[in-house]
Amino acid sequence: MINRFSKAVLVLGTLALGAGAANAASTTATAKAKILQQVTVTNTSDLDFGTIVTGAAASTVAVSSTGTRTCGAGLTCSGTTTAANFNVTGTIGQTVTISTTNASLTSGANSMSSTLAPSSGTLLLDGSDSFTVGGTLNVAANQADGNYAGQFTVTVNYQ
Amino acid sequence: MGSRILLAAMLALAGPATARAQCQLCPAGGDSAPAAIGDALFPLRVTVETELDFSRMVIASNASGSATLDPRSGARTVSGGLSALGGIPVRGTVRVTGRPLRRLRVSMPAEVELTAPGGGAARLVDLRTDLPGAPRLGILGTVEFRFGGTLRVPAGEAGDYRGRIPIEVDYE
Repeated sequence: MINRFSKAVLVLGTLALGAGAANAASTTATAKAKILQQVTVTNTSDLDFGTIVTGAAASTVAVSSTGTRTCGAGLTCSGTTTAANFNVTGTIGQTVTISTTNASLTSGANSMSSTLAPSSGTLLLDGSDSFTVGGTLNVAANQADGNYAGQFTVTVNYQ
Repeated sequence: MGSRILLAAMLALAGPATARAQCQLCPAGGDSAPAAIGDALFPLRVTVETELDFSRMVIASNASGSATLDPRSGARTVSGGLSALGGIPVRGTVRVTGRPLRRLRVSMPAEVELTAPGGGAARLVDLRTDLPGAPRLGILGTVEFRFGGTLRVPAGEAGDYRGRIPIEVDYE
């Protein structure tokens, strides 16, 4: 009988001592956010189709993304051709998508349409980034003489 | 004679706890005086299930900006010099296990700092959870809560931000 009494006291004592450690728990969570730099696009050279002597039939002049000219049948092409160049800045390691509008080149009341394309639809930024825009100019039969010029818009966004 | 004295002594010892003697493992009725013996049998555990992630945003103008992740809806709203990009913002979620139906106290700082490798610093403020005013563990001894807050980014301070949020849970 006396033995059982002593054991009961001992068990109660142990439980009371253990209570404090179980009453709290802690951990650490992580918070994160990826804030990207604003993309900038800077035009450094124009798209130039060079000098064209027109013919009796409609034709085209193409300038590739590297500035190489293809002179269409019936036309005489000369002068220097260049693709437009654009430098890009943004957060390194991110990918951007590139698109461009077409351009209408005008000289007074006369105009020629052109279809343009960027050298690449996407670009993985590495700190030294650029792309070019070339295209195909549509020259009408006996297109009127003149210095034709137009504008186009390129759009560069994070993917 | 000896056995009767022994019985009286045992009853006297058990006296103060008589009110709770019927159910040592049930939550204390009024929660004002927790039964320490019951708590000790259910040690509290807290684990982070998802980290808080505001995901991708972009500097849109040269002005400070902020992004808020609502812990209840999980929706992200972006304002000021920041614009939202794609990506999936994620609320923080935390799981707590312990004594069934027991009242809890959850402690987190109101603000923490996030830093980026390039040296930028942003502040995560108004840290809050979706817990009710008097949170308690469920019938199975678990509860899960979500947390969110508002990230304040100084003008033009792009970067890959990270910060640590200490979370403590106590029996109330």
